Amino acid sequence: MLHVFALLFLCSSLANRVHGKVGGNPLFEPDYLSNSQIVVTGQVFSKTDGSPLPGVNIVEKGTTNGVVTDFDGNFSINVNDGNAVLVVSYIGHATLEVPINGRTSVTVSLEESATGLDEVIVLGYGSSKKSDLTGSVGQVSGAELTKSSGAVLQQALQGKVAGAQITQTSGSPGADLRVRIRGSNSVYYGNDPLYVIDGVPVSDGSLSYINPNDVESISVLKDASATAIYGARGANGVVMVTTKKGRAGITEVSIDYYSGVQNVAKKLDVLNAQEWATTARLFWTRFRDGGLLSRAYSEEEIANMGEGTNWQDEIYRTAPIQNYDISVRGGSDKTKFFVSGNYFDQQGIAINSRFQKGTLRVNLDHTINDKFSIGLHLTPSYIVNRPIDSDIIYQGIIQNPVLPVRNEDGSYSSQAEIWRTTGIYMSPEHQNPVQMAYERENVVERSRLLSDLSITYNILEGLTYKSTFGLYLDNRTGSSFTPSYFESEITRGSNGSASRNQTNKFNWLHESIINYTKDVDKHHFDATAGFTAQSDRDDYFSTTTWEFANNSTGYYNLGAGNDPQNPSSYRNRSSLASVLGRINYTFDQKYLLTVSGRYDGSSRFGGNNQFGFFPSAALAWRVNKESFLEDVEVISNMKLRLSAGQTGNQSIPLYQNVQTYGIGSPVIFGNTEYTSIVPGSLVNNDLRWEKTDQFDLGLDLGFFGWGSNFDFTVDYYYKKTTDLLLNVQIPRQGGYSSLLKNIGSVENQGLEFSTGLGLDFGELNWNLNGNISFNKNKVLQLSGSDKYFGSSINQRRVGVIGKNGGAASVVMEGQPLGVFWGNIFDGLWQTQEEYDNGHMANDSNSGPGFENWRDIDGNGVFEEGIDETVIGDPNPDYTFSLSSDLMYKDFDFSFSFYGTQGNDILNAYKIEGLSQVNNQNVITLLKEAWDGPGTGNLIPKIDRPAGRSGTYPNRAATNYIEDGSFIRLQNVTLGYTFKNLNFLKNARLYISGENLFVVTGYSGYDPEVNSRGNDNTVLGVDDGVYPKSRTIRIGAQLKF
Amino acid sequence: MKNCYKTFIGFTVIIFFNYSCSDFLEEAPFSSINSANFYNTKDDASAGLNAVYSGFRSYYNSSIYQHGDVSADLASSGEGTGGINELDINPTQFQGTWGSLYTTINFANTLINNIASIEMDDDLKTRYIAEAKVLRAMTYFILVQSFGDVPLITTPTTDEENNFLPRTDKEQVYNFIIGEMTESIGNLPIEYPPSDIGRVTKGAVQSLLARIYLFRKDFPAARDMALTVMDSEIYGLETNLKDLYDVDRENGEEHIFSIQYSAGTRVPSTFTQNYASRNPVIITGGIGQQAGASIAAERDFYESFPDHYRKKVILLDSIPDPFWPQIIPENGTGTGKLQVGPSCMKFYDPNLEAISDGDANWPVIRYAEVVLIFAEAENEVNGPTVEAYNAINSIRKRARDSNGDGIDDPNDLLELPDLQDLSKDEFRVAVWRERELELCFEGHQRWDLLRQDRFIQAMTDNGKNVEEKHKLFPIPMLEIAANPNLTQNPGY
Repeated sequence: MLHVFALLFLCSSLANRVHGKVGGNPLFEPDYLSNSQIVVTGQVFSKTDGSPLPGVNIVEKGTTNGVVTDFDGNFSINVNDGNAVLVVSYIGHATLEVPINGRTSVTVSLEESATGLDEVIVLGYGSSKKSDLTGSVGQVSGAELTKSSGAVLQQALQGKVAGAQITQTSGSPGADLRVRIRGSNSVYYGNDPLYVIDGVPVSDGSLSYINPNDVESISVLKDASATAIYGARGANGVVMVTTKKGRAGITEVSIDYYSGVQNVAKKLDVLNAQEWATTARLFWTRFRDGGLLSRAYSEEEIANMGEGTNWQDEIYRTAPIQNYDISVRGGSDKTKFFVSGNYFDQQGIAINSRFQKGTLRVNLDHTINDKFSIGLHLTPSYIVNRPIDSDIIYQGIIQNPVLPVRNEDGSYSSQAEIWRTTGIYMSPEHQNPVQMAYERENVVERSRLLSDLSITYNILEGLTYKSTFGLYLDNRTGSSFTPSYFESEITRGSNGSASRNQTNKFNWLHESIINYTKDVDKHHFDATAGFTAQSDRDDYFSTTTWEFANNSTGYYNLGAGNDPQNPSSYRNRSSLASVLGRINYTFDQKYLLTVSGRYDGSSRFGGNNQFGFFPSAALAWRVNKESFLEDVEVISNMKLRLSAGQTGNQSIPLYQNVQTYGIGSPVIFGNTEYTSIVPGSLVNNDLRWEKTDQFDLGLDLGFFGWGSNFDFTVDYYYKKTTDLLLNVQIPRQGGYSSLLKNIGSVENQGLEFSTGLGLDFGELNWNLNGNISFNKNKVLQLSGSDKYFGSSINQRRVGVIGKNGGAASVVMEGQPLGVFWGNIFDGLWQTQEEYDNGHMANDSNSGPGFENWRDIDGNGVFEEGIDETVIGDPNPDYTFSLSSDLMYKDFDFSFSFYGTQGNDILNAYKIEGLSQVNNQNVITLLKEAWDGPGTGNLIPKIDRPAGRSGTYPNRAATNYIEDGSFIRLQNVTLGYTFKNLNFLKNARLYISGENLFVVTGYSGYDPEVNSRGNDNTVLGVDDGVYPKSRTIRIGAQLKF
Repeated sequence: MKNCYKTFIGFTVIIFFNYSCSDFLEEAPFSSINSANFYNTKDDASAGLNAVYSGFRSYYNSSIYQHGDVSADLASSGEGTGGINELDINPTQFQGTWGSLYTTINFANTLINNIASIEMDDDLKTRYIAEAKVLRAMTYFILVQSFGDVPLITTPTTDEENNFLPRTDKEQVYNFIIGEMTESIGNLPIEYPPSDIGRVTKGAVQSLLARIYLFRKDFPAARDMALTVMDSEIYGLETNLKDLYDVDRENGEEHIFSIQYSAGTRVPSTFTQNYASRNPVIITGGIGQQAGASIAAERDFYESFPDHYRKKVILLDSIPDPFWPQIIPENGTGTGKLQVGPSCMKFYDPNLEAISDGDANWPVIRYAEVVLIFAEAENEVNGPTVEAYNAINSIRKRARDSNGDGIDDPNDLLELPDLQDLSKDEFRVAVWRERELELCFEGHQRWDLLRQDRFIQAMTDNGKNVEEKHKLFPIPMLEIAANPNLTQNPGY
């Protein structure tokens, strides 16, 4: 709270100064005055409550002549003559055209935009009024985004737009999210949408460098009509982020501050020391008839054990989060600016993890004269991220509860040491997680600059030319250090290890866009055309040194290590040159047509297909503008939309179109090694982008009356992606084994509903918004095989899955992407007799008390690798959200829910947990283990069949698949706004809770999970993922 | 205003063409060698040729003995690890071999095609081409021996055309092999400086050609070619057989052409481990890890081996063995019994204990084989002449010379007497047997049995249930699936 008061004090003095400057002369002199001009003065009020509206834009229609109302809603404008028309516009209100009719004084009442139809939706290379939209686009206002405390912008978008499935796959501060717009189109390459910041497409979708407070709006372009203008990059949807612009008029200073605490939302139940030791002893008693019982604690030792250490308590903590934000927004009619600064500091709920960032922004617009204006966006940012090893999270579950965190002498306890010195068995390769968190350093620092400069030239009335130069720089340095005294089975041999890797990105962009608008009678034309060129360059360098005699210099001095490893580096560059165009035609405000297309040339593709054309067309019919509905006042909007088009995905590895050579296996002549250089992979000159054809049919409805309004939008879409890039097995007689070819096909179809209800009872305002999205994904065609295994999920923890190369998922024709693949669990063999007569009778890996895997092909014998099938689908049937915003007098109260239904999760904690009690801790579920016929049918006996070796074979099977459906209370906020305080325009104080509860049947930390992050082929796997936090924040938002 | 507009349009058009018509969209990888900057210099040609050698080596890493010895009647694949057994041979196998042989061919085709435009010393260029052509021809020889008709590809693969070529008649492939090798003889040096040892020499091509002629049953040509090598007096038999296999005396006068391996490099030899018959003692004196056996002598073969010096040098059944005093059981005790079968000691590297990887080269062809080729071909052409007897007896003399002094001791002579007074047929059988004893475990047996038309008989006698189809390996199933123009060998 002290911070708040300090800030209040600081800013009050600042604000006074600002007021002093502007208050005396709130109006700005127009550039030119002519004799025929007349001065019109007036005042603008809100129709809702009659209060004067400051900052309203007043523009003389058909000119660039405009002013802004002052704090009391007053304005004064010089117009050409008495027939002038004033266009009065204000955010959140319906734009009004006021004819002067010779008056010199006017009073304007602006109505709050009931249906949002006048809301301006940002599109690619332009914008549209919502009412004129023909495509399927979801827009979220900046105010919505600031409700979340996530470090990455996308988190705030979760649940806000129907059809945009956003998954927080990890709770690690600053972790990227998995974003899918209308499902996944590609199997192996790029499913992320294209991000466009203030018109500049960026190659970096990790939007932690955008301060949510700077964002005016985000629009999500979903159908082909909206995305085709991004051509070869549009197939996965486009997320357009628009930041706040300066506004002429009084300068507004905003200060936002919040501070909060975070806790782990859930801990898992694991065995305590005594329970574990007892269970492990039971195992060793049974295993090989007790031949290795010396590996267990004695009964006497066990009797003296207490609860021991719950390692989750040791690795999780209550962690602070805080955010400081200041922005200043203002300007004259010639120069407008928005500047802001932000500092965000989130300590992770896991010990020693932290994410800090600072961002600055300058948005500047200047009108040079009536022909030229310039605009500048400048966004420097700096991030320091100290993530922790995901092993620490996993180890928090399985680390032995018998061990204390530290030994009596202060050193960290070690399973390896116990095993070595006492012969009590616990996995020696498993490291003390507290030690790992504190002794191994891992830092990522990132400085980025996103900037663009644009020049606009008003050639003729309605005809403008805009040229934009964009620049994006990203310098990312990852550093890590493991001291030599860090004893680990994993790092053994390196005796201290320091490494640094550096990625430098340099991207530039040039765009030239012409826009022409013309109204002829009832015909409205809006045409956009242009060309763009963009080049992305990445440089990478990485080096590691081992053998540190002294640990004091860490990763700052790699030369201090005595054993340098081979460094690696590369430079990549790609370029894209495009021509684009769009024509919007509206007849009589009823019939709307959009035709757009883009012709892209990309360096990524082969000589025969370097250029591609991506067209789209859309029709819309505003039914409510027809005469038969025009008088039905209750229907404020009724629009049918239809669109079709084609977009592409060019995210394939670079340089596939160039014959490369690589360093081959060396050759020896004499006793000397000589380098050989061999041809790289075979070049496919026909390589082209993955193409997505999309059809969309939508209906927008709006009802208005009785002080309330109701919106409803439904969209049906069908997308078919063809020419998927797959590595095809080719005859090896040519000297190559595979070739990247455009061969596969995937479809997505779905329904999206979104609805909003606004109730206005004077002092009480209530907005209720909800959406629900259904998407059905299906792989139509692969090549060579009808099934490919997804990525291995084992990572460092080998053995989670012991089959199929560590994969638990498949990409398979006729199935959704990434379905789980494995065995069907039919309970446990209860008796020797049942087992002997069953289909696993001769399987030495089973027995009474052990798993009965179904003989799927019914041939009477269970066969590994054959009796496997699809056992779950991690794709949800639907995702939904519901949010409510209630305002009563000066109080505001809002909450939002988000959830998914019908998605499966593979719980890897269970797989390992139920097979390894002899060497690691396990979840308490093991207490229900089978212990004789009829004692259980879920958890196998604590023992190992005679023929089974080790963890053989840990597997994906139905007993590890859980329903991952959930409903999360994303956010609850209660705020109170103090209005018209002295120097403050207003001050809002609020308290907010995030992730307060989750309703789910899932037994792991959190059902919103994927240990493989953004992988296309693996989703819904829970294996050592940083859990999500529950956050309580208090904050203040001050406006001066 | 009109002018402004035109200027603007002009400006736009110019900028656009600047991007689209220049090489803006032509990106070449900065950090990979690519066609724009490779195959331009002599060093590029050298590195490309090294790739052919490196590819050629891959067959000799293990396929050579798996196919040549393990799949014949004198060796087994050890304790069920790796190896191929006739009974198991099926079209799901051999894709790796097939792929790696054709990869080598593509490396050679790439070099031969690209070197043409390189400006470099013409003699060196000619030599490089000859080396590549010989390695390519030898690769085709392996392919045609193994699979019969195979696609004959002589141009680098730059599109999918090569991938779908059908099989070429094996006679045509043999003609290609012999033609290419014959053409190369004159373009190769007799010897190389020490830093280039391991490259193909004139004598190597001649010796390999002699082998190929023998396999083609072109006995006059085989005889003449072998005689050419013998008359050149560049090569000779190592006096003491044990020295032949001494890793410190590699590339001696008997080693005409060997695949080079060197400890401490990225191309170490693993033959010592592979041939150790799972006995850790042989490899590391018992200190290190157990090796997986890849090949062990079959008991029958071991028992049938005449008990003279050569047997002691190349076969070890149990330890301690007075002939191998340095190989002692762990801690001086232990069972001392090899785990799988007798080990072939031709690739024994006593230094392995200290350096973790080995030095032993693979002899692609050595002088003893040339001598035996001569003996066999001479007998076929002229009958068992004095020259034929001299040839075979020179091998036998060295084989029994237990002190390696080059002088026959009576005891030695008793154990393995000189051959004499044989009929032509008897002599033929004697040479075959001599080859078995001399060249065993060097990857010859299967191919010898096949060319001698006694493969089925010998294998059946050995208790292996082979059929006619086993004379050829199957074309890998996945290759046929990928290239519908390929046909399968009969019986598979």
